[in-house]
Amino acid sequence: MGIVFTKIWQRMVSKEEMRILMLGLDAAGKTTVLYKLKLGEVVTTIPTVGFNVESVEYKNISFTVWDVGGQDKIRRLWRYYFQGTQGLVFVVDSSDRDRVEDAREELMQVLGEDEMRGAALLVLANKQDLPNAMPAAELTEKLGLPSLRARQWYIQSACATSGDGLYEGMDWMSRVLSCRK
Amino acid sequence: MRMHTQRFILATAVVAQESTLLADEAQMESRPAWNRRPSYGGSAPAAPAAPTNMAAYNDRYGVCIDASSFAQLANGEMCPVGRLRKGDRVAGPDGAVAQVQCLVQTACASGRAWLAALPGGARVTPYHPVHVGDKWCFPVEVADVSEVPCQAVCSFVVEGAPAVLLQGGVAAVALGHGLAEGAAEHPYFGGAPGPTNIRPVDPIEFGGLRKQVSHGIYLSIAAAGVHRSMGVRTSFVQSTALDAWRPLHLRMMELGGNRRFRDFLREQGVPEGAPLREKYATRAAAWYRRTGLRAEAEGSAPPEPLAAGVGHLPEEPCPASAVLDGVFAEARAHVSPRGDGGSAPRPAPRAQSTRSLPELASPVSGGGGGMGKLVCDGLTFAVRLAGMAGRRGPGRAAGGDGTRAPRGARRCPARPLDGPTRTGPPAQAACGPGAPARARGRRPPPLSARQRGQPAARRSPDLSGRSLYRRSSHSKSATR
Repeated sequence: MGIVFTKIWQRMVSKEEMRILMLGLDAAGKTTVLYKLKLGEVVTTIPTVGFNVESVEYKNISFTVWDVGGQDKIRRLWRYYFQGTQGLVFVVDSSDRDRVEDAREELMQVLGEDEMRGAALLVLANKQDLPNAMPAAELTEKLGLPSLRARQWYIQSACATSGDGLYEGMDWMSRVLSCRK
Repeated sequence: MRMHTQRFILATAVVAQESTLLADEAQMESRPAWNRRPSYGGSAPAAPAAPTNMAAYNDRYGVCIDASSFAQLANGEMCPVGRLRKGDRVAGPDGAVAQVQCLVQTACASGRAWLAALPGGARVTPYHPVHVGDKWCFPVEVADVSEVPCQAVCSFVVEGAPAVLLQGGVAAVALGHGLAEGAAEHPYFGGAPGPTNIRPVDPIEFGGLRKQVSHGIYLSIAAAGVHRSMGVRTSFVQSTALDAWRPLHLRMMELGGNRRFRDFLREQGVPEGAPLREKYATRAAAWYRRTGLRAEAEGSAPPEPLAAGVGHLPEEPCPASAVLDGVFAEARAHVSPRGDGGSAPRPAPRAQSTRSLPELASPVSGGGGGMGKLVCDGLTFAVRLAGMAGRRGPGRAAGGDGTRAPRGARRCPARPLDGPTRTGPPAQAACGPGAPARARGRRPPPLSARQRGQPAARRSPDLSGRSLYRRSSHSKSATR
């Protein structure tokens, strides 16, 4: 009986730590998402060369979110951040129809890495507020998500400037990650 | 602090060379403090794209002479190296006379540099070949190297002699010297005499750091942030150094240019001082990017000209952009003394507000007074072939809503870094009236005071030792 209470108590007070890696093409909105989650505010950003990292507390889970720059030539540095990643947040600019194919290739390359084998995938279909944005269903197809095997994935339409969809996405992530415990 | 910059440059440079980061980092640890900077390529796997083995550079940060050291002129007078001009006649070794063709000056952003003090007092970077005794050698072999105040370092291309006499009669090689003996031998800097592969570059190309493709213009990195907020349909931004370029985009950059776009907007009656987000939402800008420039680059039929008198009107308004308009108007208002008047003045200046963002305030981004610094850095990149852009942190929220304690003290925006990657002051964040529509519905509990006091950056120990770039705004603030 005591053990049960202890477990419940631990569940209530203990903070789990999760390591989240946020990737995506340049100008997808990764940094804006990160600081919207962290501060609840829209910040003015500049292109990230390098990375940003913040811890975000949500639902008793402390997410350590790494936001790595997405420009073409620094995408090759992504792999240095893979180790120990439990969740991958892939941010896509839904209005960027020209480069959705690039996004798919980059995503598949990341998911093919050994170190990312166990990571849950959350795709944020960002910038839904822009005219001509692709809905989540269309992006699902174009990113080739249905073809993923042995991977927990979820796509969430989002708008980082208003905050829509971000917490829904984090909800899913926290659910998945805590189920694994 | 300096190390952080160097590490970053290392990381990005490694990409360029397709080398491995970790090997370089491991090498670095075994070097003396002044040389904890990577040389290229020593342990790099054979990369098909790398034309030159950069290992011979030893220190790609400098084969330069302190600008305040003196060079001997042909008439026997002494002149600070930084004051040499094209056409000056300087003394070379063995009584030769050389004429200066080109002077490359690199500003030391931190105001300090690792230099070797040669016999006679001239100061040069540790691997600038010099003639001491009767042989060419590296200064590091014959003199002590220390970090000293230094505003700028120079290199030059001369005609008539491979080297130039500095104070004390020590000869220091010029670029493209053609010498093949001792330490002077070098596959690149020691190429054929004369400025064969060293040519003047368009400073804006390197100083601008970012190109904005849609309108064919060059931007600073701060302005690129504003441009990216407009969405790729309005403004598609690519980095000169960090992005792959499509032929069409390159063509648009060739055809476009800041002046052409500025002139076009002026003709169309778009006010020059308008905020960027408004300016690019006009019909004139939309016509220019979608029809004018693109058609020209694609070689298709010239489009119908824009109807007169409507260019300055906004294109179809996008209600979704209101949030960002507010954010940037706010940022603009309290970083620019000129403000666009669109938002209420802030009651009290904050620490961060004293920094200005020239790029945001300049009429056409990428031009104007904010470029001076960038141009200096640009030359660095051009000559050093590093070609990497600066690293900037995100603009952070600069303040609260008045009910919380001011957060500026704890949450400093990422500081600009020392060294040539520095590109300008950081983007400011906005808050308050125009800022964030709060996340709807489910929000995380507000941060407790204790949490807010904690360092913003948190990193796992496994990676921190080899981070490409470490950011801790707190420690940086403290060291300044």
